[in-house]
Amino acid sequence: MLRRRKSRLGLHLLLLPVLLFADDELDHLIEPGYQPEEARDEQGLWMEFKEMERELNKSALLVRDAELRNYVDGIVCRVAGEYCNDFRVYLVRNPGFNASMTATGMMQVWTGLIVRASSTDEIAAVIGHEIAHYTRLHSLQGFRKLKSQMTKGSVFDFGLAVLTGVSVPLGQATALLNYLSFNREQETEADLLGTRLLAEAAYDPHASYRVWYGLLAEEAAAEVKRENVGVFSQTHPNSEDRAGYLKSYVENRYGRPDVEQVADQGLLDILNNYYLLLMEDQLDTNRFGRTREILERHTKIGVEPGLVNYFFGEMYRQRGDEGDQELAVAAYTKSVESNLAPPEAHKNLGYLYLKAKNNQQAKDSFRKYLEINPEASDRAMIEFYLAEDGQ
Amino acid sequence: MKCKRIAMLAIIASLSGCATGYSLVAAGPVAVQDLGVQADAGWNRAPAMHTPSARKGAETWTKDGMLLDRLVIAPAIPDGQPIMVSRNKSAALPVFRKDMLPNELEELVESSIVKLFGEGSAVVSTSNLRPHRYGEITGIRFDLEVTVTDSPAYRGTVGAFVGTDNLYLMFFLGAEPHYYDKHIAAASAIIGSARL
Amino acid sequence: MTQDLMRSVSCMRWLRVTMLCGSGVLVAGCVATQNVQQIEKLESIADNPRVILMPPDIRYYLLSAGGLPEPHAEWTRLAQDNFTNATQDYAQSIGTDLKTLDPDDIGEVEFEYEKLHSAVGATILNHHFGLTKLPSKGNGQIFDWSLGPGVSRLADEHDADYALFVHYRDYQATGGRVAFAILAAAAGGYMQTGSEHGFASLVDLRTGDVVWFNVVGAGSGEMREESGAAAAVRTLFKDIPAARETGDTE
Repeated sequence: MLRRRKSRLGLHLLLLPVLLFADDELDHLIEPGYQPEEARDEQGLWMEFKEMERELNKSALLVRDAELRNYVDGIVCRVAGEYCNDFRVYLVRNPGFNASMTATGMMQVWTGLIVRASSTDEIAAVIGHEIAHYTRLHSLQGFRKLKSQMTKGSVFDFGLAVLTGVSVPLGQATALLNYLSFNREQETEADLLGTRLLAEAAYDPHASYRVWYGLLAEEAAAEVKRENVGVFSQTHPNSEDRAGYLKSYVENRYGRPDVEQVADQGLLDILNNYYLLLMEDQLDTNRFGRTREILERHTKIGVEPGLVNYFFGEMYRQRGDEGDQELAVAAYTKSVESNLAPPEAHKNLGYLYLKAKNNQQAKDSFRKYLEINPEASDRAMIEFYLAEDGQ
Repeated sequence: MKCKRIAMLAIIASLSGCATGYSLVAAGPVAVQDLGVQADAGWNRAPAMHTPSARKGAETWTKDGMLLDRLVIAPAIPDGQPIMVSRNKSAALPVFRKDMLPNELEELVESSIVKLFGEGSAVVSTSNLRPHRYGEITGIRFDLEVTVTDSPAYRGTVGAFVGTDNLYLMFFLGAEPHYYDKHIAAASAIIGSARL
Repeated sequence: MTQDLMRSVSCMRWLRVTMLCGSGVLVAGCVATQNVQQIEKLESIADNPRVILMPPDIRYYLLSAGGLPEPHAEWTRLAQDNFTNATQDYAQSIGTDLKTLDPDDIGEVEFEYEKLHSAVGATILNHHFGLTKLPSKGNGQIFDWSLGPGVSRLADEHDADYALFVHYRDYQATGGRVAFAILAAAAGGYMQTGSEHGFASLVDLRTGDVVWFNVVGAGSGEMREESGAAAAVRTLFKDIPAARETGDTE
């Protein structure tokens, strides 16, 4: 919290001249196909990350669907250009806004990133940023800096090992990763180089700051503010600074945007085809303000209204504030009319009618639910209500 | 950071010994506040130190150790309260409302279990929602599956009912493979036996 | 990183750490092994009992002056190779046929059991060797943890009777670290200069039962060298049941 608020005022003013005039010196530090050098610490890092990757490969939370993976792989490869073969991309089921990269080229993209994007270009912007971390060897530099800081005797809480004399027996790699957060300087480097990669791959460079304005809008809409929104945001410059300096940088370098951003068919297809999978985890976060902001974004970019309305119904119904029941009924009703609604729309509509003591309509909706979904695992519950008195 | 603090506390606790130990749950009728259940033999009641997310008055029982199986019995959760506690103010825990219908109770538990394992670290799905009679009161039962990043998967079952505007909630989680199968019958019987 | 109540990724790991710490057998400086032996000898329908060694989770770290454990790839590779060879010899000496699984042999089922085993192993360290005993298990008198009969899938797939799981960590102090420790000692403090510890367990692949479990502390051996690895293997596999009466396991 403190960390995120600290330098709001200064950063982009301070860095701007540097950004505008010095960034041409910023270039990749490694060639495509990079392999670790003989250096002991680099070899060690690679070993840990390879072990992590072995486990990640088998994670039950990986999205293994080909169309989704191809979509993300395609973006990575286009932004990465000649570095494409350096990366293995893992799409992970997680509603947070995050992507991450290790020194070995193991890249994780969370489904929460796709859910929040207004365009493929915005996803590409985050990916470009991560690729820049890789080609600038930021992991290794971070590790070396950490080592030297510790040697200077800073109070260090790798904790148990030092305090109790017992070393950490398991999960070293994750613990290590937690300490390998990039610093602000590296973040700014990655922002700039990432934006250039984005533009060179013919994605819209203006997406690089739009993604941050999107995140700011979500934070503003949130009922419960985050202490941190995941590694990506926690250790990075705050969103306002970042959106500000990136906007100046991009407009200075590439000119103002021609037209208002419009969503591309690629992203729309992905959202339309996988909407339930992608939004289900977001709904489970119980963060209604954020979910609502995301749904409004989806409406604006043209995701199938039948799908979006279903989740509007879910969100209003679960939030349960004054007037939410009516809003939920309206949203479910629109969703049901589109024929894109999952069967649960009928069921939850039924429960809403039940709550409103509208038993006849409740039963109609419940019957419809069982008619569409005769194998429903909660059939016994529904039949319990169908058998209740009145009819 | 917080985890480490908890871990440190647990170490200190385990070093200091007795007050934090597990105790045997006597077989037969057991009262957890105003909720009565019929326990079989072999359950260990976890000390509060090992159950940081449990509400005051709730109990957590295990047969083989809490990483492998656990039965949580949370009585008398009042309107407007979450089913577990968190020191993390930004956790956004869902709360119980006394007018909740079965689908809403199911969602309440699903979202809470996600938070129990860590938002983003687990995907929880529910199935087989069905009515269940707890004495005079009609409540619900349903089943759970939890997929976790860094541990075995868990399967479980849940029982809940609303009595005098309070929620009475019991859930069992067992590691997969083996521990769910090993204890589901016993856990299910206890949940089914709950009475006010 | 996440809104954890109990167990985010890292939290789970810290809690596991706690369990090991709580077990009290791994305190630096003491040479200790503790074990549980549930059976007298290994059984098989084959001539020799067939054992699979799950990819041994052995890691070497360099402990820098500040205390950051730095993964050491070369030492780890050396240790893994030496350990695997020494285990092969040891297995032969107790009359078993050993097959070492490569990380690439780990399919979905193997991975599932690796994860279950780490939860069971942490539980054993905590509740059997540790201070928080479970009264239902006679406060440490009853040892009946198991991976369940479903492990017979591994028996069938690998034609084996038993599976051996090994976890081992070695932290070597750098010169700087040792210097720091001396300074700390001079100032009346204590600082760890390095340590090693691990555990190994043997699972019956018909029943899933953990039939033998051994915890080792410091001084168990230097796996980076062949002779050290042989010594470490003897310590790590202390009292492991053999296929035939050997009289003495040492």
